[in-house]
Amino acid sequence: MDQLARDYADKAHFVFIYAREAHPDDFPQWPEHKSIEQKFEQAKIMKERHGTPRTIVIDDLEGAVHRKWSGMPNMSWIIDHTGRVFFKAGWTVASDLRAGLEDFFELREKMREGSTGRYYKEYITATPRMRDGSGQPSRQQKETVEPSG
Amino acid sequence: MGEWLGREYNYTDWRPSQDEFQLLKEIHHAGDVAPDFTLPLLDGGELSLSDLKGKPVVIEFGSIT
Repeated sequence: MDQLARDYADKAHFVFIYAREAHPDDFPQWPEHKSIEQKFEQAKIMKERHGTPRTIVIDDLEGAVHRKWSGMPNMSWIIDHTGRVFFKAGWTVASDLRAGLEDFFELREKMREGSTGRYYKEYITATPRMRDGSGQPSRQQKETVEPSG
Repeated sequence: MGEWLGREYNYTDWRPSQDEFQLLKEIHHAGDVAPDFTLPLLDGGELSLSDLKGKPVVIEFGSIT
């Protein structure tokens, strides 16, 4: 994701929203958050150790924004230049996001050329450990085309 | 501490939540106006999603673990 952010640094904004710790049971050095101060401290350590060109913001202790966007632990979204959802994915895969950005800029170019359609994409993807009713990894792709208003 | 979908939001032990996955499928569809948010920046100040119009915004929710 950081490489993607570097590649598109002039064309897109990249925001990392630090939510709850997803696996505090597996990593006792990164426990669940019990105060907003602790949450900020852990985020600062994360940035110091790993660095990132992305903008880091901190959700509140109870995840008000995270919950409003479903609460999935590592989801990603692309919001278009007008503030509409262009792409959503329940699990972050950098190559999917790169493809989504490429689609976005291709669409914008087509719109400049007079295309009358809008094009949005959803990747409804679960975490790797989740399975759908048939026992298969949950993943489906849906494309939506809407007429321009 | 608050609950979320029947358990503590800041849980101590992870388990997959089909409720969250179902909610993801139901909300904020492609083409919908994204809900705005204003959150504190790690390095100070605040950031609103609505401040970033004009370029696409790639948002990732995550944590260290």
